[in-house]
Amino acid sequence: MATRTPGTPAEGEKSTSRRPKDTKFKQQKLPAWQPILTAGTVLPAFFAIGVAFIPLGAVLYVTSDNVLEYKYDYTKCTNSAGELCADVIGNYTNGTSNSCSCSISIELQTDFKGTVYMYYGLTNFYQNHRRYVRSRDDAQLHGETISVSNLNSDCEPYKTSGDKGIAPCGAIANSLFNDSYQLTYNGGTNSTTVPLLFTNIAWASDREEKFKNPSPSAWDGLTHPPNWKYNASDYGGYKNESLIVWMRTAALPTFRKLHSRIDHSVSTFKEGLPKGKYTVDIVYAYPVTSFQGTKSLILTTTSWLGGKNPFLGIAYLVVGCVCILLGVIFLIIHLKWGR
Amino acid sequence: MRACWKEAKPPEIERRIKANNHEYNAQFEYADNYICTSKYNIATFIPKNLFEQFQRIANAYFLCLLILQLIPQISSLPYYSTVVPLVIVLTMSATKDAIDDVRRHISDAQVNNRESSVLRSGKLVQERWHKVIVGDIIKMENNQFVAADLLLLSTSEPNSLCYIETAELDGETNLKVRQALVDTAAMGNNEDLIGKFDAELVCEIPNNRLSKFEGTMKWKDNKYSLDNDKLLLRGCVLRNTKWCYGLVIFAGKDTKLMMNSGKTVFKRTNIDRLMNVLIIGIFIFLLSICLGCTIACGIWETLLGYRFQVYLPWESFVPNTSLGTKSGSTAEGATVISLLVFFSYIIILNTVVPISLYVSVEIIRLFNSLWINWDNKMYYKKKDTPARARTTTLNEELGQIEYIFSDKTGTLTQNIMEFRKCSINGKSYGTPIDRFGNPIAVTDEGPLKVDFSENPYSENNFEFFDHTLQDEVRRGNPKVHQFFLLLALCHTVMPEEKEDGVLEYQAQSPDEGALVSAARNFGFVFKSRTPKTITILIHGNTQVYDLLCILDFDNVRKRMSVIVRDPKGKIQLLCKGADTVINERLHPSSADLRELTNHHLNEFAQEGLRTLNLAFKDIAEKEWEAWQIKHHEASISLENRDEKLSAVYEEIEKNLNLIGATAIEDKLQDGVPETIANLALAGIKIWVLTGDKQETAVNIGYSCQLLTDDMEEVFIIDAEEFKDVEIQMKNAIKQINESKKTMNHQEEGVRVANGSVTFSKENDNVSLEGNQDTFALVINGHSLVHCLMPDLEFVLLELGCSCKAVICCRVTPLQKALVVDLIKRNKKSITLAIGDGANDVSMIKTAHIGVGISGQEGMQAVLASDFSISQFRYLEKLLLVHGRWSYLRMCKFLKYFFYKNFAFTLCHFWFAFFCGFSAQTLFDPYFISFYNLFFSSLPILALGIFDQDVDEYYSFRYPKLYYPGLVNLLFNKWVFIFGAVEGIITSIVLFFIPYGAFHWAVSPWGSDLADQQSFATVVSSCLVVAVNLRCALETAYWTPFNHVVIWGSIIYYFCFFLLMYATGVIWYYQYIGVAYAVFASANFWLCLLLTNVILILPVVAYKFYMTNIRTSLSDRIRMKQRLTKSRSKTDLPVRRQSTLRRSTRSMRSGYAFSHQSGFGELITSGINMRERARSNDAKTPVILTKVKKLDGASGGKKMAVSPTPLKSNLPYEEEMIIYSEKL
Repeated sequence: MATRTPGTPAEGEKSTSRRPKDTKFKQQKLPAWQPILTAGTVLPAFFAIGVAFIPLGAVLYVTSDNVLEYKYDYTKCTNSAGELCADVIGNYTNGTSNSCSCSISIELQTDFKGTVYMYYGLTNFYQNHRRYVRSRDDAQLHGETISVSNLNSDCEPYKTSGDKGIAPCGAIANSLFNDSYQLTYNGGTNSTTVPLLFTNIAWASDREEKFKNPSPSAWDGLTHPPNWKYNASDYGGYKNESLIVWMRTAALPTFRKLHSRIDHSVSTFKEGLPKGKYTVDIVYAYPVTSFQGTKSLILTTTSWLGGKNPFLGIAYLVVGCVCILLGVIFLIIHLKWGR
Repeated sequence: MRACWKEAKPPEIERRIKANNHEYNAQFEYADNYICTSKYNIATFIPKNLFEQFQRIANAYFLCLLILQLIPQISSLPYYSTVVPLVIVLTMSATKDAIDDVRRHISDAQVNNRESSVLRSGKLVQERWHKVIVGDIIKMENNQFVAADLLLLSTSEPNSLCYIETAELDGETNLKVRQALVDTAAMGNNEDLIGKFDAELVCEIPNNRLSKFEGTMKWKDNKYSLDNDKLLLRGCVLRNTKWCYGLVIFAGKDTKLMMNSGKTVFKRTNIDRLMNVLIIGIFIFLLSICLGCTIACGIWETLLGYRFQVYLPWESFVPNTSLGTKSGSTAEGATVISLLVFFSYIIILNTVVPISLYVSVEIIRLFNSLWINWDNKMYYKKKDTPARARTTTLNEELGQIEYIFSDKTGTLTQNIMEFRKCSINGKSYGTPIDRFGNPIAVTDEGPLKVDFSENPYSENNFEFFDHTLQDEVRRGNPKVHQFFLLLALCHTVMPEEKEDGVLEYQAQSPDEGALVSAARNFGFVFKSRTPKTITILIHGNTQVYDLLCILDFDNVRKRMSVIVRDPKGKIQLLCKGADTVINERLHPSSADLRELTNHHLNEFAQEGLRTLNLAFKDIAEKEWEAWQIKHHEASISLENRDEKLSAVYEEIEKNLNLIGATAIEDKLQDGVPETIANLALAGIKIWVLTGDKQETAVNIGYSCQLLTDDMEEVFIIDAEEFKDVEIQMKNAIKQINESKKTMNHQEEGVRVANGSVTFSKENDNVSLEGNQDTFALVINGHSLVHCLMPDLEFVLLELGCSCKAVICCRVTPLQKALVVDLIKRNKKSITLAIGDGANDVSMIKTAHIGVGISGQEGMQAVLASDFSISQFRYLEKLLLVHGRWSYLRMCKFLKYFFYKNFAFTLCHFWFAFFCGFSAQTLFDPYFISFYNLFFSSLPILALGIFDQDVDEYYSFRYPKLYYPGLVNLLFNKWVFIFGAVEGIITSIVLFFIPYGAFHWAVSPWGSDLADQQSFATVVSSCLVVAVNLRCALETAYWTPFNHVVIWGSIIYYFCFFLLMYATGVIWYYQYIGVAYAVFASANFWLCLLLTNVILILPVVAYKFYMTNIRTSLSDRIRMKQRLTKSRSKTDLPVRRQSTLRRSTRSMRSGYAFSHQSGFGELITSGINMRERARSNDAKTPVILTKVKKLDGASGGKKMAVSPTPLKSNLPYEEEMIIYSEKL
């Protein structure tokens, strides 16, 4: 249509009106809540937060305070010959000859009532280093059968050993914490060994879903990480809960990990750990001094909040007080200068 | 499908064409008539579009990041964290481009497939447009579009004329004449002859000058020179011409229409520019943080990492690894590692410049444009035109306008003249009075308008409210008769009888049209004219007057006369003109009447009406004959013809008898004074740039409240010489400075007395530039020439900016642009130009924002504009509501967006101190890729789309609300820094509160919770809740959408990760079970609550302090709005009406002509007066519509080619070319 006679509507022109639709949406008249921060809403809010936070903080603080915790740094522990174990073992953890035994005495001042957990704590240990975190093969840990060449290359240099794949591969597994403890209660007449449980120390989801063992034959082509003395399959494979705990890498370079639970089925320890003297016999095998790390042993009870940590309680108290203070200041300002 | 591009061919030097000789023409490979404005086709879309998209710096940047991420030694983030957002962003842009291009394809196809008749081997065949080639001869018919640039060969009309309408080219709707060469015209309609036409042409190469063409034609041993008068350009429409033949000279992309298009200047907003600077700033910040991390990493690796190799050996390519694969010192190893870490940190910290920023900005702008398009209150019912945001990228700048440059005719005024009042023989008519003789105001209720229905030629839209005048006409008052007779005879209007018998007038100036149509309604109908006669119908009786002579209007004479012989044979001179001019030439006997009439003129002028005096004179036969001889001599003289003619006219136009005066209203558009007043209150300065004369412009200035009588002084700059202009301006500045001094004293006094220091904060700043309320400036075009010289432009700037209103009259389109450019260059202000005609295009394009008035004749201004509205008054809503809201939204959006990404990204930085600067991410990579897309952007998008601080009504009522935008208060680099610092502080809180709470966290059943994944989940949950609550605090207007997206984002986050981290969704994904374990601990919820209270509390406190103590205007109005709403919804106060008319005013004579010379010559020469008889054979009678003689400069009625001796009297296009070179 090349021509257009006057009077007739041009091509594409519609006879309908081009008037925009009169809807609330299009006219930007949607019903809306238009809050304003007035003294009537803000000041009560400040006071309310303050009033709520201070008792909450107190409760949290008391809860945390009631948790009993005993911590012993045994990095500089010595063996019976009086040598520093750290020096004895050197830098390598895999040589049996280098292991060192040391024994420490501890005394609990109060009864540790309830379930008691034993942790090992490490400092200056960078489990959160980028290369460390990646140095694992989740598929392998999930029990998939993976050929040596298909192992995650991030596992290097702990991916293969000779022509065999390493199971589990990677730096995390290789650096598995391998000190072992034996706790003996010296109270009363006899020394009693405190029985430790190594089950249910890892996350349920990890135990059940993330870590699975491959078919037994799959272990054949695999060998243990260089720092290990035994093949993984000898100790429950990937279902070894100490391994699972270790594999859940810590967020910060100072961390503690659950070593074991106290078995409270024994009559002496039914109520928890009684106060008194204990001896811990440590097989000192894990070197940390070369990078200025420390190792410690922690015994603790838990509350509904978990372990001992006064931070939240104090923080709530502080914030609550600041709120009340702000409320008062703004009240004065409002009364004096506000509109 | 045809390829749109071809290989470049050597540049043409000249164009050689042989008519009807395809073989010859083919050798030059001239462009054919295929038009292609689309950019892609199906095959090229993906590569080409991707290439274009990656030219954008942001996209290219993310592509580089992606490549970095693919290097395993560097990669700190899996590739998908960048790929996912990038792909989404690219897809969205590509989709938009694709839709645009499909539209272009469709319109191209439509144009290319139009048909026209082409002469091929001596026969006319229908051919599609794209098959027309250079050298073809086309036959065109009436009302057809011209397919290519044609040389006119022959036409159906006498004198080989043809008429074209050039609306698509230059926006002018008046017809223009083209004339073929006499020799080619002789071929007529003979297809054989035309088929054998074999002329050879040499002409200029394709260019974009619409008004120039040079070439020569050789035919039958004759050489002809060709010019623009013989050219029909593509895009024109043939009118009033049955057929014509033309030879294709330029086709397709070589046509002048296409050469003129597609050079739109890409405009960016201030905020865009600021954003680019900020992004560079952020990037530098990012680089320095990464550098810091690199150094820290080097130190860490030397001191610790080297020793930590017991458990984490360095990679094999690093020197001095414990594995011993490469020798070197520890320092070397640490250096290599730390250098790589630099890139790793760039990857993880890149989110400070979010990919989604640009896309989000685009989305918000798109919606804000849609609001404009959808606004019912900017819809003009009469013309059925809604407002249109033609560019979607400039919205927020509408909220920052400081200067408005407005055209007058068609923008402020309707360009409709209405006959309002008259004074006949000392009696004033037009003011309706009641029984007691008191004037009544004209309202909707009454009085009734005079009923003209007994007159078959009356017009419905003619309104007159004074019944006495019609009574006088009926009574046969001879003076009244003479008055209307003069109006019906003395003019240069062309009548046109439409097919349905409706009589229409085509007047060269709307004033004249108004007068002739007034006479028509009162029963003195101007029916038709020939070069020698005028036929009028007086109350039904046809009378033919002989038109002896037209003494045409010009700017100096300020009057026009006709000499006619009435049917009885009496010769009369009828004259109308400016009162000053007529008064000088009156016969002494009219002295009394003159006094009376002057008195009436004063009254009329006070009302802002444009006035004319009417006079007549009887001429004796002998006197006429004697004068006629002199006139003839003068008109054939070769030298100084114009002066001689003027002298002859002067001789006869004397001793006139006054009849009376007319008063015409140059009708303002509705609501113009109120709009201008309100915009001025908002702190916006309005400059009127018009082609009109000074008097007219000043008059309009008063009637639209731009100028007011309480102004201290209106400076008028009208000197011709540079020196004088300089003196005038400097004097004005001196005067302003003096009065400023005195004013300042007074103002201080007032302020102390009021004692409202906080209140007056905004109010003061508006009048920063002194007491501008009291001065106005009027500059004439010829003075402006000097003012715009480099020496004086700063003086003009100073003067103009210290005046409240500035009116520039008699300006050329180029000067309009130059004035705009002057402000744009030297002030940091945002400028807006508004206009309706082709003469406003240059300024519309120059200003930051161009607004076109749509629904008028011609589309040129609209096509060049960024926004189009159909009435000036809609500007108020466009700026004060849409602009303000857009600005507000964009500012809130940007501030928040940077805040939110700083808060997010810098958590990684704090984490770096704890992970040995190893570029380990704190968060789950999936969270990183989804954070911007799913968990935090919708609430701020909703805010950017829906937010409003106060509603429309209050935005109008308190124009001062506009002020923050005007001074860039809401988003500038300080606001950005403030937002960024807030983000940094937020990230510290977000990291260290969970750090404190989860340091050695264990669950109640002993298992530790301090692992990295749990910690990541804690921090990311706190982050998502915190940023969404922060957005909630920013949201002032909670529509249902805002509720859904804000609360939805938070809920969605929790659900998403509970589901994603559930077992079995992603096999052996590391984070399995984390969400459940974390969300199940009391520690987590306590930490979440604490973190958010700590983050929100200071913001609430600050906001409360700002609203309660240092209340801004916006806050106060919000409170007020809330109170009013709660009181009653119907009880809204009625908007005050500003008083339109001033009570007293000095007399200002308006002269009711436009300043171009008239039609007189055209009428008497008869060149385009076609005798009706000749068109009798036409089946469809071709109707003569308005015809304007074509002059060298393609100046239209509004082009304002100044008659004053302007140095640069160049045609418009040339001016523009020079102008653009200058820029």
